[in-house]
Amino acid sequence: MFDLAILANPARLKRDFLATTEVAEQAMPDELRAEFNKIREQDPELLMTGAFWWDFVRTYKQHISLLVVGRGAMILLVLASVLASQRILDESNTITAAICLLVFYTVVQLVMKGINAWTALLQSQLLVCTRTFVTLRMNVKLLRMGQLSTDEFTTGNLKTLVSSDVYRIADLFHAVARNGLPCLLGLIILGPVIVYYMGTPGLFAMVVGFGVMPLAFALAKYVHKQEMLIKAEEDNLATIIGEWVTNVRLLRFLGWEKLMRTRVAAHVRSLVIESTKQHGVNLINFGVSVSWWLFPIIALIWANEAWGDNRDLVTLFASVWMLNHITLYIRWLPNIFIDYASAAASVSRLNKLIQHKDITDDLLPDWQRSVASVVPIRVHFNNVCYQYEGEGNPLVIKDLYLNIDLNKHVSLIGKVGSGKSTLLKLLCAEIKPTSGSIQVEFDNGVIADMWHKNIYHKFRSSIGYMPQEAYLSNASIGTNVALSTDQPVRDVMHAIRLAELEADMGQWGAGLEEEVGETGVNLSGGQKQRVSLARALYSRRDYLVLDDPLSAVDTETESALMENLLSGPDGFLLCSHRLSELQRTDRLLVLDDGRLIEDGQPKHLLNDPTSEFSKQLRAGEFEEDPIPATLVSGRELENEL
Amino acid sequence: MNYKNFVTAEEVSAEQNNIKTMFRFAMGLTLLRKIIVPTLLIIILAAAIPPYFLWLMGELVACGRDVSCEVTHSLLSWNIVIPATLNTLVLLTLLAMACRVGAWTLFELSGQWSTQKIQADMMESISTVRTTFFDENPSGRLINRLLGDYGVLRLDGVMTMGDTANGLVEVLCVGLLITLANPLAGLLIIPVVLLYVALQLQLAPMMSHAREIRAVKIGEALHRETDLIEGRTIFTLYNKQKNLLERIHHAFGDSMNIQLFYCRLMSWGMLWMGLISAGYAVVVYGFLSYGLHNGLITTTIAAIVITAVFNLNNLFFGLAWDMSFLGETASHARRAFFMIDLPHETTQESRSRPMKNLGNYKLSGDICFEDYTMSYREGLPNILEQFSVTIPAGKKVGIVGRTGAGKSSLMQSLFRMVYHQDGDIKIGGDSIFTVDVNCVRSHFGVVPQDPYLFSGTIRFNLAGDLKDVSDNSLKAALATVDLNVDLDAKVLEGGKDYSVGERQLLCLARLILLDKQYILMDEPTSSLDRRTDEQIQRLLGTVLVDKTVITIAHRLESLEHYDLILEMADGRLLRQGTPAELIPAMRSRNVA
Repeated sequence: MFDLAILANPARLKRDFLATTEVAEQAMPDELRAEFNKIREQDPELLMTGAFWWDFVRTYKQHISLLVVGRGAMILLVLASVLASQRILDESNTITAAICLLVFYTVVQLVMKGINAWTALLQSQLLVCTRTFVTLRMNVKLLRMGQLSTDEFTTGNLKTLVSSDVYRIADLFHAVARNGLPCLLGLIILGPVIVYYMGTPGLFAMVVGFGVMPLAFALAKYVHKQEMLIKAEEDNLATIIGEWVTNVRLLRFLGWEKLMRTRVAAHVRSLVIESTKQHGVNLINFGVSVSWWLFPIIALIWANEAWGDNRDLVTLFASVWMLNHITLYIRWLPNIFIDYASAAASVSRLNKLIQHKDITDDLLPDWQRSVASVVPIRVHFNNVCYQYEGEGNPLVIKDLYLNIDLNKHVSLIGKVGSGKSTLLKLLCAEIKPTSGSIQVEFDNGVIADMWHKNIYHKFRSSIGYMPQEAYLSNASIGTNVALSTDQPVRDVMHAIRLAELEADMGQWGAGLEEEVGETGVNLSGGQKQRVSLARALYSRRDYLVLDDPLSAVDTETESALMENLLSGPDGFLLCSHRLSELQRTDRLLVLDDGRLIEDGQPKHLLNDPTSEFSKQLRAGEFEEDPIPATLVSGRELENEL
Repeated sequence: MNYKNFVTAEEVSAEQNNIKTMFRFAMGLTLLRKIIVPTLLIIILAAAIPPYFLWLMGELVACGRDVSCEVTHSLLSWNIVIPATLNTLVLLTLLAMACRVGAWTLFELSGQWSTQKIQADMMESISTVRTTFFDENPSGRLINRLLGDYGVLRLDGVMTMGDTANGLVEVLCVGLLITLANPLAGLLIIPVVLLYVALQLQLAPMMSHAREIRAVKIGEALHRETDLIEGRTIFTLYNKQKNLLERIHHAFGDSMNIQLFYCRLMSWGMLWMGLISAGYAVVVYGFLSYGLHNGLITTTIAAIVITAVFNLNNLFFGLAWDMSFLGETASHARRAFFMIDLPHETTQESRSRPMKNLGNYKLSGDICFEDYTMSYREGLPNILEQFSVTIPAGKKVGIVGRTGAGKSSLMQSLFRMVYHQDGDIKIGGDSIFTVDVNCVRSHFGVVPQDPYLFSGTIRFNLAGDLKDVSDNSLKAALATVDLNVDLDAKVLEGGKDYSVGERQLLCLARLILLDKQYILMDEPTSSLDRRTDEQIQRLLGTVLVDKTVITIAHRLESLEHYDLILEMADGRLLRQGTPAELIPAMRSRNVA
């Protein structure tokens, strides 16, 4: 199983390696690929039932049992070679016996090395399986959850979950497979033999061997505790250096480089101090455990002499050697406990995520009538309130009554924190109102709550939403617009033209294939937003909900964009800080502190000198983009890792 | 095998430079250099004790408990007599432990302490490299260099070197033990080591390259996971969940696959190395059998050698493992040295000129741009071209213009943070390129467009490292801008616990405190805070009345009391004049 042949065939390994650029696709053994696909295609529900550990063991029972067999066989071979060596020493007088034993020993050694390499491979496959198992479960779940408003699952937390938690769990499995299992099997198989050979002294020596555990455990615990302090100090450093490299111009304006250097050096020093403390203890732990194997031997000799039955030298050495094979792994056992502690925390975080409600849990049952062939024309907000989850959070939207025609061009303004973005999210059914209801009116006169399952899906499939913070995937422009890698170029280009990105494409050498970089680092703020807008336009939805699409573009682009939107077939609700262009919309809403304070035609509001709109518009402003648009992308250095 | 087919020439030459890099790294470890002799002695002792222990033990058991047994060592002219007793064994064990811990501690300490210098050097280099470097490199990568690579060097760099040395000595000690039993078997360890080195030469580059690919693939998989975390609502809205999952799983599968491949390489090495050592062990057993048969060696010696040879495989593999990480250490060191060796920003100025003064040269007078041409980097299109203007000393000058007109470039040019191609900038007749760059910068006070505050305290953000500034003057500065905050109040990263207006006021307070002759202000675009505006206008007439103030303006109304307005377009001066001449026309053009 699992392509053992490759180990014996260096030529094939090299060939595979030479194709390393595609090795990721090529080298996966068929069996594992099948395993991978199996989990991928399995019903997520099935993946998520039962306790985590049990699920894991059940899924990978084949790997696990093979590993146990492999490890067990190795220990049996150890036993066989010990017995053989004993015979070399005992019966060295007959040269034939010695030669026979040598041949036997050669065979055993070869087989053992083979099994050793094979179990190592099995272990790493188990490691891969663990990560796959955890990651796939998590991915499916993440996709099924809606907007998360709890503090528990911030973006940062989720990233920790997919990066470090997965590794922690996998590390535990790895540690158990690598050290725990051989130690346990050694104890079970070799332990009785040692006792048989040596009697009570043998038992005594084993107890001495395990005697290192409490000490090593205490030390490992300290090391773990210190880890937290070090982590905190590293975070501090990352913050300071992050501030530095993202504000390098400001720092040079201020001439503060030296100051920052001193700051960094101080933190580095305290990091080094904490880390030295941790490592000092770790080293003692390590030093004790790697030298500890000598103590059981001393114990064995001492007990052998002190408690009578003097065994001969050969028996003694055979026992010493078997003892060695068990104590070799003892030193790593405390780490398994520590690994378990952190993996258990990771699993509980993972479980919490998996038990979090899905967006579908919020939906009401299907509305009694089919909505397959009708078109939504209006949305009604009835006494809607919204409050972010958690005690003491203020109401963001307060008792809102509002009707929005889906064929009209509506704009929304308001101060920072007035609830604009929340209102837009409510309209897109990204979040569910805390109280009150939002209803959708269809062209056949039916009015029903938006959160009925069939209505929710119907309505959502007619909406294009552009969030305030543009989400960009580290992929090409085309992929970002179409959200898939096989995009029809004409449609994408059409959307790009409408989003006024065509001129920018001249700067990008690769056109649609241009990579945007991590979080769109190669694009300017305005370009990011327009990519996000192009995405909404590409989807050809009937109604657009646009959160601040104009904030980082210059005046000419702004009016061109507005022109495209106004002449397009879709109705929209647009919120913006840029007021001058909003006069061209059909209706203007002004939100303040979660309440609607003005509502009417922009022209009327403009002529009313007391209206908030006219007041703000008169303030006037000049346009500026803070980032020099001429800077090239960071791609030249991208390849250099 | 030619693994070099798919690595770039740069990588190949970098690999060839590994030894050079490691040498440079080792030379930088000042503490280690001082204690290298005792460290090596301790390593040898730590490695030699276990075989010696086995030997003594054999003597002890062979003598039997009733006979008091002594082992005599001849060293030069001294004879050292060591009693082979249990006490000696216990003492030896403790000594072995102490030596291990001692050796590691020495390595650890020198690693931790001496690598601080590497970090400091990187930071120093970062503080003088051209600013566009930061636009070209995502901050994540830079942080990874400055902390990640340093972290590896700090924790593993020296330790790996130590472990390798340790492993080598251990192999030598076992070899010595075998030689004692049978010189011929002992000699045979030489071809074994050679074979092993040959294998290692094949394996190590593959391993380190696979590790690099693995890092890349894991990075890609994490990017896709980030897509899931940040973009899942978007993907759901547009019904593209399946695409998303497909991509994530593809990337993830790739990363796991390379991981698997890496493990396979490792198993492969383990197998062949195991076979070499197993072959050797069998040969040694053959010699032992022969020796026992002919009565050339005692059973004691044979038993000791067998026990020691059993461990040979682990020793070899441990050594291989450490050595493959040496290459890794070298690549981290290489990246660190890359950062350290970044050229100084002034090297991007096209012409080097004789320096007038390195220290505290005082610049004063009008600022003149004379046919000044700059771009952001060599080879990029020029932003300002043949730009000439005079900014009179003591006047208030506003600069307006659309995005890309060159306003920010103007400001950065004064700080010499751009690629200077031609022409000159003079202050009071002195070219700023003939004065030390830090000295030039120290003449300007800045109010940035984004009033960023650094994490720390208000005091830090106000005074920086000015130690001689009294609390009273700090408070006075805060009072001048009418800001009421505690000096030791905590500031979070970016100052996000303060409003934009407060942050701006704090920047103004800093300006007042520093008392610079030239003030550069970059107005925020869309702050609605009138309070700050009023403060700025008031300060222009009071504290800043005799200073030269250059403002990049986004609101026409804030320019009404200025002496001069420069309108820029496409890197050129479009027109200049007083507010009365220019504002009405601009207002009609720009604001509906």
